[in-house]
Amino acid sequence: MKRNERKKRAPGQLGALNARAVVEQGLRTMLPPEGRVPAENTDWIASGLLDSMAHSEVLVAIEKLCGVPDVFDGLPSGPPRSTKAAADCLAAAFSEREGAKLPAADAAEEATSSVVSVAGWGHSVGSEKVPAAAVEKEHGLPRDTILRRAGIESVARAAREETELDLAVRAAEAALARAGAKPAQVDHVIVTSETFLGLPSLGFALHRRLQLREDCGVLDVGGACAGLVNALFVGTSILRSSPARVVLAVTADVHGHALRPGQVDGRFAGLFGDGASAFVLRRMPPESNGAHYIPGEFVLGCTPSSSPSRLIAVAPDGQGGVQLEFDGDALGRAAVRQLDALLRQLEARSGCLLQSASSFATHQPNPRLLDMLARQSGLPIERFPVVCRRFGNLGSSTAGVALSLALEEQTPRASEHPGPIFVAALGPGLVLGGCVLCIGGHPPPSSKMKSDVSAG
Amino acid sequence: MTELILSEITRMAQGYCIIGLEPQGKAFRSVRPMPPRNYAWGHPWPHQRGDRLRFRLQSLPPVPPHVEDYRSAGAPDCPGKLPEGELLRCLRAAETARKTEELFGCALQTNPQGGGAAWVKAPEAKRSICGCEFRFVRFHWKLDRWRAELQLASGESLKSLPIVDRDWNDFLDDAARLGGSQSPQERVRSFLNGPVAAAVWKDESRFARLGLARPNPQGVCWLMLDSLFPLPKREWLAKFSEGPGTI
Repeated sequence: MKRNERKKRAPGQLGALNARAVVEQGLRTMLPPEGRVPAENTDWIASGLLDSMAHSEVLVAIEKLCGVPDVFDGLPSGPPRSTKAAADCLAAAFSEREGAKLPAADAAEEATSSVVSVAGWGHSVGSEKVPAAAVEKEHGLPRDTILRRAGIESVARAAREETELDLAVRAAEAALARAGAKPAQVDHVIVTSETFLGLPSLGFALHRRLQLREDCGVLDVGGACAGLVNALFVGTSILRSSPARVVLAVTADVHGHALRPGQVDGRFAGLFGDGASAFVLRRMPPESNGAHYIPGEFVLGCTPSSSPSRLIAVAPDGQGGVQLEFDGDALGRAAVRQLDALLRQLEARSGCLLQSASSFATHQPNPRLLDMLARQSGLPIERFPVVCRRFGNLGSSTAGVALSLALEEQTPRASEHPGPIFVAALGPGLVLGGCVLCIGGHPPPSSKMKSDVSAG
Repeated sequence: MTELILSEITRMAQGYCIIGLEPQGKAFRSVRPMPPRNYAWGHPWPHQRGDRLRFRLQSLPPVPPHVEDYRSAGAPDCPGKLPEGELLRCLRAAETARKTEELFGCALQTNPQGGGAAWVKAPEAKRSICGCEFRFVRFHWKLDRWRAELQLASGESLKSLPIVDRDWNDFLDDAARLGGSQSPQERVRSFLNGPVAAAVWKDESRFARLGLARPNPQGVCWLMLDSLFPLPKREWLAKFSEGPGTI
């Protein structure tokens, strides 16, 4: 049945769902087991059946039962206080929302005909700024190891009690605010972190803290420094293949609590900072996408096991510390080589010229390697948002914070002709992933490659 | 005369309920002075938290869980005031709990299908006020009032505590006025859960006092957020007017 052909429901009926039955079911959650349901016009509060607190609990229970959060909020006459008033209110709300509650077939049709956009973004970093000299001192490193050799001027470090969750919440709140979305609208939250070790997962904790709906899916994905791309890939795929409308993709990494001086080689531990990023992905009609960046095709992969996978190995040492094996120089060279190859693959797949990009939101192991990448790829270093030089390597959040900064700078309001944004990241293994974001989902004419080039 | 350090001023339908701390050696105990008639003092209540107030108190037969109730013969005198930091030191030396079941000496109940508000059964509770350390606070507006979610030091969460703290309610009213005419709650919620929650989180003095409402006809006493420290600062509102940012 087409949406505009759908019949109006009779007042008090929610399709197969009877509004009064739902209200009574909600009411029973706060009545004693032997308690009788009152007559439909009985004022629950005036009759002494419920006090104001129990009244609120009943209304929330009804909202949950009918799957419409906040249906009783902001009513001109105040929250309903009788079975009849609550049932009428539900019926009216369902009638109003008729177009929004689509049967599965309509929703699937909408899913295939709509596009996924990045509707909101945000990031946060550890609240303490630690200069490179202080990092070198606490790790007992020779002077200028972090500043000169790696190029990191300072790292953003989480305060003692600041966790991945705190940073993730701040980033997520900013992203939701930017998207104009309420937490209750989020259908799935996809979370990645290379440092969170708690159980239940970071996704669960974030779901709790943001007070997301109980039917909002939670998925924690891996990938370490490549985790952002994995999260965006999963989120985009969900929106393209299901009735879900809003996905929140979040990265959060706090290295400072695990990579403590004396426990891990300072030449490695000293490079890391703490941060988080968040992105609201939203499904919207194709005609309304002109103002938003749209994720295009994704490239995901893993390099052959014979090459750089042995360049870094991190594992618990059994004594509460971390055992680390890495060959920094070789790892750096491999990372630059792979990121360059990934960018070229994205260029070929997307049809967007690297030279036309407004930004490169890539993983940034350290500023020195970022310079190497820019030189090797022939790209202007100014188009790489500054992350690792100011904040250190933020793990999965490095590319996330870079993407958040890039979107902030390239939002159509801020930039007249925003070009594509290339996202590319890799993690230990080397596991790699990338995608290209374009305004309206396709590159502006000036950024299109000639067909013979795109074939390569 | 009994001298109390005023620790709670809660906004109720009928006026203000107050609680003070009475020294007992190195510790303190909570005392709830009630006006000569009724439970609540009328509006306006002229005193602030930390004020030292002298009452002529008359004991009442203890009716659990409101065993802290006393009847005052009249309005109190105010010979002085303690700063917020000193008040917090006294509160930490009064009734405190680490776990939810220690708050009132009995298990808390919630409606698994409801919004997360917690209650106790009146005959099971041993007291009606208790302090606790908490890790973080989140605010939300539901139906008719601001509520808070607290995660206690034990890791347990109280998901929906109605905020009755007078100072926080005044602050929330002011914020709502600055929030504009359309959906001010949404803007205020972002402000509260962004910079305000971060400022609370960063403040090492954070501490909460939870109270119990009077039992309803079913013998249910609901938990309320009586005090939330740090107390809200006027300058936070200036930041709210300026737009997104940190405090």
